Amino acid sequence: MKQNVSNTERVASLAAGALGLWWSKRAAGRSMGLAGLGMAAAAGLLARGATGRCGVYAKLGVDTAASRRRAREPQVRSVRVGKPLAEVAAFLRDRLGDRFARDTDPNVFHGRDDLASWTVRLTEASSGSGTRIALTAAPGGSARARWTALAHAATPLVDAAETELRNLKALIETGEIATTLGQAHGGRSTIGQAVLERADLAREHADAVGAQARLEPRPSWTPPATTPAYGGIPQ
Amino acid sequence: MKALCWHGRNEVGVETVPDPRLLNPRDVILRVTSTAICGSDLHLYGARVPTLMRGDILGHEFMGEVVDVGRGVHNLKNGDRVVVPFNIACGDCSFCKRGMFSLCDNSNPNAQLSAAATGHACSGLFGYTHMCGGYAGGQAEFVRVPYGDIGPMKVPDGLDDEKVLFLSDIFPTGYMAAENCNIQPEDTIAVWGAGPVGQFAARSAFLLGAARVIVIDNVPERLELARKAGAETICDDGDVYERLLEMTDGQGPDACIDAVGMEAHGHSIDAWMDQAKAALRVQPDQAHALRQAIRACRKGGTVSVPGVYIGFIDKVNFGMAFNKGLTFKMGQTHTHRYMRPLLERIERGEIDPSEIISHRLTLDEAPNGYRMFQEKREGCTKIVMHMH
Repeated sequence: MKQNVSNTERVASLAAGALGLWWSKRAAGRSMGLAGLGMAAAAGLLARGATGRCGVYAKLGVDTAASRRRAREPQVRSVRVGKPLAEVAAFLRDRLGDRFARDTDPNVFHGRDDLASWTVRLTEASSGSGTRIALTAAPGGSARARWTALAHAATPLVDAAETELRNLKALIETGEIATTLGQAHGGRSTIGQAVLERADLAREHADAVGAQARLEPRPSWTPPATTPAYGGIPQ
Repeated sequence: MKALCWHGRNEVGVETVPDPRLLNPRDVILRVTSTAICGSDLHLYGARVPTLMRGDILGHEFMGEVVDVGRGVHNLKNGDRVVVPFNIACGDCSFCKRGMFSLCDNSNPNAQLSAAATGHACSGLFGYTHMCGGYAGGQAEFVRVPYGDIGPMKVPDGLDDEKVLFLSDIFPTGYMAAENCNIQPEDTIAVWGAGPVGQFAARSAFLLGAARVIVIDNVPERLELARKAGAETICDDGDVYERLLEMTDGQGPDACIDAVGMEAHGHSIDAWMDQAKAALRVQPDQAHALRQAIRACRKGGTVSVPGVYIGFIDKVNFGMAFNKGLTFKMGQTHTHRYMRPLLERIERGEIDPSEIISHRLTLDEAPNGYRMFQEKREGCTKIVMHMH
């Protein structure tokens, strides 16, 4: 039988088993029968925790370790961009050349960072006009990145891949990436502030990508000379 | 600057916060001249919509004067007077290009959060939760407007703020709700909710050629306002279905507009169960008006839903809808595509949106305004805040 119990559950099973042993030992003074039942249950839980295999799960077809196994596999996500393939390829080559290295195939690009090895593959969209950008993210880079991917069932990798694709699509279609980073707000609660700071990491990444590829202003346009009537954000 | 911030359930306050600044090349900054409290702001006020956070600046109905322009915006300059659509749209994605601006693919910085909740991400909205982008709203002295080259529409100097402010949301929302009914010359349209969106839905139904409009609500002042627009009214004190059938020779209305949405109240078991679940925070959406609309609508008719829903609804008889062959049309308004033609209707004098305004306040008075609007006190139908 393959492992079908997630690591979190395994730790919980070991803890519950240890608690069961302690309780059984105490119960032995009152009823040997009850203590025996307790010992049997505790042994089962300890075995479940130690091996990561569960007979009941196997009978029910439950596998809580599956997401962890999938985390070792490359994650693939795709998005449709409303621009011709040649234009998208030129954008990746010319504007994001620092982030994506070219392949022998002009429609394939490679990248690597702490989290993953990335492959971007461009093809015609499955229907209508436009281009399909497929991003394959293989957990890799540092040992820490591999551990992060495993520990969180690939969620960070999937999040990063989806964010990357949305950013690419937005940049190619609109010339910028939507952001609220640095905007005004009222007083936050402590928890709210912590949650937002965590979310801001993704936006900072988007901002960095956006800054790199931002479209230049049209030469014919000159900014208005008048000073804005508002004071601007305090530095 | 001063801004109205959400502080918790049924609690808002005016705070001093940093002024907004340009964050992207296509941004513009407005000095807000007028802003309004929308019925859907009350869903936020009552903490019925997830991912709103303490300190968020509210407000998605606003207009003002341009005071700063990003280097990617070529059609606006400082001093321009504009009204801004409540949804944020890039103008470049496949949805915007088809005129479905409220489904924009690129304007929501928290698209992942939104997609996790609804399957696909919604567009960004001003001042309407982090799921909808987390953008600061316009109930403030200044506001940053992303994609300033697409959304804001210049308005002629001759028209007061109050005449054009509602082009930002409720007039296009009511109009799209009526347009979704595919109104034919002899049609009778029933509108649930005589709040601001219901008022504009009723007026728009007449503009689009409806023979009769019947408005259902239980607030006398609001029903009176609907009657002024030429609508017949039903006070919802029980059997709306019987009354509607009686008024339409047993046929039922040709189309039904649910301009109430998730905070419907009623006098029946389903409405009480909804209210109990909402009070227990089990399920925020109360679909009493929608259930009535489905039941009353004639066979082969249309149910149009401009009222906001957030999540699951139950006890909605889908078999009834199927067997009557109903058509459902719904969603956030594609505001951008209605602003210009509706401005022209205002200029031609076909409609005066300001007639629904009941209260004019300052920003400092807004917390009281929210309370009054929520409790429907003092004949409150629509509150506008003039900033200067």
